[in-house]
Amino acid sequence: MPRRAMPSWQERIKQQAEPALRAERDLRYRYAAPAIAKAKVWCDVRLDGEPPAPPEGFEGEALVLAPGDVGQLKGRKDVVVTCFDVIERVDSFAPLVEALESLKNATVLLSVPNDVAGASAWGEGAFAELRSLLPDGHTVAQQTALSGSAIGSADGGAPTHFIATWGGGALEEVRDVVELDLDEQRDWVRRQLADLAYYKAAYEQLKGERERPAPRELPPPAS
Amino acid sequence: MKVAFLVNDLQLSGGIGVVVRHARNLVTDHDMDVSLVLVRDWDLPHWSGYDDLPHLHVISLEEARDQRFDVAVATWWETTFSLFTVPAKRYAYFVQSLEDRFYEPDNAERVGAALTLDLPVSFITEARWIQRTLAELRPDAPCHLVRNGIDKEVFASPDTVEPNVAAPLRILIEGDPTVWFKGVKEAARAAMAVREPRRVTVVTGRPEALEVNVDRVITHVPHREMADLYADSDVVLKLSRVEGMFGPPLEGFHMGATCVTTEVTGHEEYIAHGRNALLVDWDDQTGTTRQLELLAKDRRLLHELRSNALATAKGWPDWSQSTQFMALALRRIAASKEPDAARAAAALMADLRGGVEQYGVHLQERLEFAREAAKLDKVKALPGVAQANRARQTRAGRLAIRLLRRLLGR
Repeated sequence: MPRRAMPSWQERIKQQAEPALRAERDLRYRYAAPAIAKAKVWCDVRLDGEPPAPPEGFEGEALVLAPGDVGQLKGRKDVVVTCFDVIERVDSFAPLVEALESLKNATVLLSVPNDVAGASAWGEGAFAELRSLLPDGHTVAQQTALSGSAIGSADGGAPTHFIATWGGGALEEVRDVVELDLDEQRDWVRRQLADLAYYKAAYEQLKGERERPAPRELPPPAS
Repeated sequence: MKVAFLVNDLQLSGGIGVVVRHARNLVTDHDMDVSLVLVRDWDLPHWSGYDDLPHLHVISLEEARDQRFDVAVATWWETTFSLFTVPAKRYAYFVQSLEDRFYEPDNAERVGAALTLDLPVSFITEARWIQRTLAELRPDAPCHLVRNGIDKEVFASPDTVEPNVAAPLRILIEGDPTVWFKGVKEAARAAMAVREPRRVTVVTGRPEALEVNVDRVITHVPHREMADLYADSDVVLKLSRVEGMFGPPLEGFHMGATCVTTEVTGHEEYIAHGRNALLVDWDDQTGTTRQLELLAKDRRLLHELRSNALATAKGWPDWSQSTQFMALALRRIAASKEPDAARAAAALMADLRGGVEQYGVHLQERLEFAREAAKLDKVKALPGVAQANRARQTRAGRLAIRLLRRLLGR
């Protein structure tokens, strides 16, 4: 089953989201985990739902705040703020960005989706706009999708293939993980949809021509 | 927060439209006090094309000089002449294109427009290619990116594109044929050379200057009706040589039209060859015609490009999102340190020196041409030369020259 061109934000945040999307979301928190573990305060900015459990070693205070309440963190020290899957869901993001920027003693992690296919107006261009406004010295990490496969003994997951071998010695287990070309993937999916719509329309056109009744009388001969 | 946008006029145009749109939204959504400062007196009674400008102050330069703003923003290179006469805590320059390119190499305005990019200001720009260029030209100056939004109510995208299976290819060209860098005439010629069934529509305010017979010419189209025209098109053809943010194809994308275009600046912001549009080479009329014929013949490809164009459009911000970035940028500029005037002056003087040297080279070339022309004039003034030249233009003279050439074997 091919992955869709672009998940919506609803799909990204719901608990029963596509497993690959859940893995993406969990990985963002794993990325933040070393910073959270050393912090006195971890604040997860979110609109709904529950944050994941704090990472091992974290002994500070864990807070959950709505975007409009980020100002409450002003003056607090050793704070880590995670703000994932939020900016694309609020109508007015400028106050949130300003509030996050105004935190002087905080490490802030803010995620922006790369929704080039129209799931939201947040993509590479919007992120470039946001970057031009972020504090000097900020860093950017890119989260990319991976695709992988392994051939070896059964480990419980549903296999894609069964490979029978005989007449020789046992073969070593192999596995490979490659970065998925998301542009190409999205393009491929959209092309399938466009082609389907085109062929449906072409079929209707042909059907219309075939079913059109033949003229009852021949036109008069040209004089 | 008090902001002044300096404008040359308020006539309806792309650049002014962007400024007015931001100004309106800054007032209504971001609680800012915004003035549009007309830097030319004679424009005061002449502004037109906008339904109304509620809560915006439209004031003269003299009136602006009696006030104090948090940020004063130049919006066109000529408005920088007045920028520093408006009292403001910080100065900014909203760069919508590299405006020196609007002028031919010999125009004095070309150097003037280029020099304004050396001023001690914070920059705001609407395209990443301009942001990258400014970062190279002025690494010392902050540059904030604020892409133009699209009015999603006017350019209201359909959910899906209706395939054009067998009707003639609907080609749309828009622009002023008298503006040398828009390539409107070249586009009309290339489109009319398509040998497959097609319908070529040109939307222009100057139809008399088109010089090409097309299937349909539509003049003086309001913005809202332009959306309908895009919706009734399969492909927007643009052969521009200079663009800033390159808005028209994006408006077409919103209405389900793909684009055939040159690799003009701004195209890279949202156009991907073979995905949502087709790119053509410069000055390649035959190649352009062939790309259009390809779309006319391969309707599946046409539909793929149009569908992807629509998907691209759906990911583009509206004006509300765009002005939020403008508000953030203005607040950031207001709170920032004053730009380093010494570094700006160094850049300005280096460019001025380059401009003077370039002007010297042009002048020298002109003098040499004048000397050559003077020599020719002397030869022309010799007794009998004028008569001989006149005789060459007569029928007998032409016949004599032909015979002479034949005798000499040339």
